[in-house]
Amino acid sequence: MTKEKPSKGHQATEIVRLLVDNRSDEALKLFEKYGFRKEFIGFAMKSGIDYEDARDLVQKFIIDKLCMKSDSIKNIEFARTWMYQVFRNMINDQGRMLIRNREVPLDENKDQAYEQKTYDKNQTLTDCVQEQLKIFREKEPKHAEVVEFILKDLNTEQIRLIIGRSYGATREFMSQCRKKFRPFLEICNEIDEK
Amino acid sequence: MKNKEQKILQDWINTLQGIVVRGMDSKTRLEARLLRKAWLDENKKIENKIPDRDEPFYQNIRAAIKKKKHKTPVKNLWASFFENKFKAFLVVILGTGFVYASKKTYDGVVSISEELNHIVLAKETTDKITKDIEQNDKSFWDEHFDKHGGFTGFWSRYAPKDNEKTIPEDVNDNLCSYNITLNLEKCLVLANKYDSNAQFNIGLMYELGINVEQSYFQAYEWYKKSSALGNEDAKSNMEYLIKKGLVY
Repeated sequence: MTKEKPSKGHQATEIVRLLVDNRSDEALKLFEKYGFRKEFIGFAMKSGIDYEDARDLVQKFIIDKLCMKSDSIKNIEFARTWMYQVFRNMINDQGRMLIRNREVPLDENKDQAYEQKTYDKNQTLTDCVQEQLKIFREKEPKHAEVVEFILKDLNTEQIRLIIGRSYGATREFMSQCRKKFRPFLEICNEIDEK
Repeated sequence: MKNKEQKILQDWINTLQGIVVRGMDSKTRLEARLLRKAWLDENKKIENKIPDRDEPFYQNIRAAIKKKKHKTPVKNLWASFFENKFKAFLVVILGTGFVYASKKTYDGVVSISEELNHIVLAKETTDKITKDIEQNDKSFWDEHFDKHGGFTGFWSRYAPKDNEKTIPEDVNDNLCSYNITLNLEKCLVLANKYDSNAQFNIGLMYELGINVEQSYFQAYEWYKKSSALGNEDAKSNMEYLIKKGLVY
């Protein structure tokens, strides 16, 4: 009989339980085993932070928040939600500063990329969507973040807790995400038609 | 209409999360699938940039956790407080100012209430002789104009101050009823007859130093005697002396 693989939520809860029991070594092993290091570094990198800074930020998150404050989680079943909630705040507080210090006058280039709307003929549909996803992240970071959470299999209730809105407002925000991303995709539809 | 929109949204979410949804709008499905595929491909690209094993990453964490656990929380609190010197300075200044201001206000309110309760006028004792003199009614002119004809208003500018109450003209003073004529011997005679007002007046003489050498201790003793006979004013003056720290 095969054992079902625990969901990401259960894995996060397991890690936090170990931390609460003061078994940080085992918790860190599981953190690596379940791929949370890559997941969080990747999440930070998608916000525009480069690898080195993202790595430092995740380290800081583990030391200052996960290990020191995990016993303050109200509902341990929502450990993954809590982790994203805290890490998202860290990105907002420190990550944005890192981006600002690193890159300088890229804003004009960003606009150009968005306005251009013409693509290489050799570009595939997937490449185009990927490109548009990047532009969407730059143009609508908050909406892109929610799309990211949906893609990470988080449900409305969990997303609601992370972004700090009511259930209804979160549903409305998700609906806006779909509508806002549509024009970005339409450019790729043109390529598809060609 | 709203339900339809909610259904489209839910279908879109489900497709994004890789769940197969039957009978959904084909355009929405295509959008969601394209987005999911692009996201998965992007994830792969990003994951390729992150090394599979990163032992120093965890070594640093373990060392930092060890260090943090050895620190006492009190030290951390102070360290974080003085981390930003300007903030700490501001907090100290504002805190001191607040404490000083509130203490001043409190002291002011307390001292005003104490001063208001403190009685400084001698009480009239019983064996005075009242002369049958006709009431000297002052006319409107005498009341509101001075001797030169100047208007003094509807209050008398010559009214005696509270602690300088004068003896009415129709009273034969027994020398133990008015501040200006208080006499210790006369008052002692009355005080020995258990006249609480006379005892109060002796206390007042000692407290203010009227015709005797000022002594808060003596004043306290006499107030105590008077208050034992039920004199409320003596009691309040006694408390005043204690609160002001004039007697111990």
